[in-house]
Amino acid sequence: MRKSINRIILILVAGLSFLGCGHKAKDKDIKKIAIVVSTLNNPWFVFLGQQAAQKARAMGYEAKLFDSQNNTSLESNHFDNIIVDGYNAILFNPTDADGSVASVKKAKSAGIPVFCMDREINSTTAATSQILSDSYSGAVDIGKYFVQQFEKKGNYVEILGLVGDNNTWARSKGFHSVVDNYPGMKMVAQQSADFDRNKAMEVMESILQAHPDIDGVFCGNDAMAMGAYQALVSAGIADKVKVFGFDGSDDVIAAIKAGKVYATGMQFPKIIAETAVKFADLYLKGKRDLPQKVPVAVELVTNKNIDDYIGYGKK
Amino acid sequence: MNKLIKYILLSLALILIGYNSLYIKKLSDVNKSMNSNFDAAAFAKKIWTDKLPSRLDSAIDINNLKQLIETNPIEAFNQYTNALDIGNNRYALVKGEGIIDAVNEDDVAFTVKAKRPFNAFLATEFVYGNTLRDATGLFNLKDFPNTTDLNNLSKELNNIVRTEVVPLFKSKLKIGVHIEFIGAIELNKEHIHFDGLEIIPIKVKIVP
Repeated sequence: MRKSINRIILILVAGLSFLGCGHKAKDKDIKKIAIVVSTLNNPWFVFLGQQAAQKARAMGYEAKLFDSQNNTSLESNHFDNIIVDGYNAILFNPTDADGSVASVKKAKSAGIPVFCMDREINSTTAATSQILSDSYSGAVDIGKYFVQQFEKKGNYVEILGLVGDNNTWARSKGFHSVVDNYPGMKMVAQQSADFDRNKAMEVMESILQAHPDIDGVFCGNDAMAMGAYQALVSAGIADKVKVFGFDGSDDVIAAIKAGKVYATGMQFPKIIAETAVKFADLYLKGKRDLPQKVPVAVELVTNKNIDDYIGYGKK
Repeated sequence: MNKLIKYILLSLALILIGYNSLYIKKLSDVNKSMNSNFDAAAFAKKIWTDKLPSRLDSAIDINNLKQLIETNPIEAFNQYTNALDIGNNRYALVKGEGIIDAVNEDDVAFTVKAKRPFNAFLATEFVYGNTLRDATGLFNLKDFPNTTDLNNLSKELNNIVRTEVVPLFKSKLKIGVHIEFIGAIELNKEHIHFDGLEIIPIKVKIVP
């Protein structure tokens, strides 16, 4: 009796081992896409990463999300692990336009194509393709609306994003390409808050100590716009100062509806993420003539057209 | 004594490492360092004189475009609009006629002549963005790997409108004046609004 039970167990174990082998063979057929995102501490990037993962899985890929926590060293470690783990493609939201180039080159040397999402790297030969929000043009539209709202005259503050990120400067340059044409518009302070809501609140609080008499604030993203708005509420001047953001996040769309924030530039993370996945899929199927840079339009959202939009351009 | 030398050397090494690992730059310097060498002003001028005139001949009548969008939007947007960006914004070169309603500091309001007339305005001060650049359909992304060059091209084309085109007509316009125009427009495929349309003027002629 005992012998036959042992035999049955042995047969079952052997059978299961074979089944396991079958699974492994099947797993090897599934290609893997790594999604490396600059930070998951910002809901916009969470949405971007999730959309990319969702689309990749829907197209039959295995997808894993990596959080670089705005740290190029951690980002580089992720790339090392991704190369060792044999991923087939990387969808990449870089932390730093210059500092992230080495990681992309590392992946390229290992034969893994990299598709940048939303943020640019300062190289036109390292990444296979870069799908980027047209931040400059979006900020031009905001700049135009900004000057019109103040009838060409007012004191304002600019809160910048990460200094090493090209989007920071594309937005700032686009904004100033309009606003600087009007001598009545005076920038009383310009400081970086790293695209972070809490830092923006602190920066705004400290700016208000020196410049309590301001009319407007332009922030390089919506998280900072909400932080700046909080500081203005604490100072009791939120109804006097017009806040402008950039992103089109859920909370800022709600804030525009409520009359708390004046305008934002709606980016389309879903389009960016889905285009990146489609490009990766095309590449893995043999297509090689993909464009190096693909700009994705940014749309101006104000209280006049707010009903046309919901957060992250999902409509 | 040995200990003292050791500490001094250690301190020197730390100062050296610290000094070389920290760089302080002015925000304005970081901004400046990203500038390109492309002469956008000269390029825009050349396009304006050499290439744009022939493109203006293909501008679609604004009423025909409106009607086509109402009946067959896909064909209308595919055939008559351009855009370098992926997204909803499309740009077109249009022509038409209108009667001036108001000459304002920053724009000229007019009514477009049509079966169903609608309000539009010629931008004369706030001429910004990619409307003109993209509406011409003259540019290809692959020719501009540097995004800054494309942005500067828009800026310079818009400058030509503000400094050369607008002064030619604005002072001559009055309420009730009949005009013919060729201009560039932006349309959002998802949210189409012709009423209150902004037109970037390229040619404006007073009809006697």
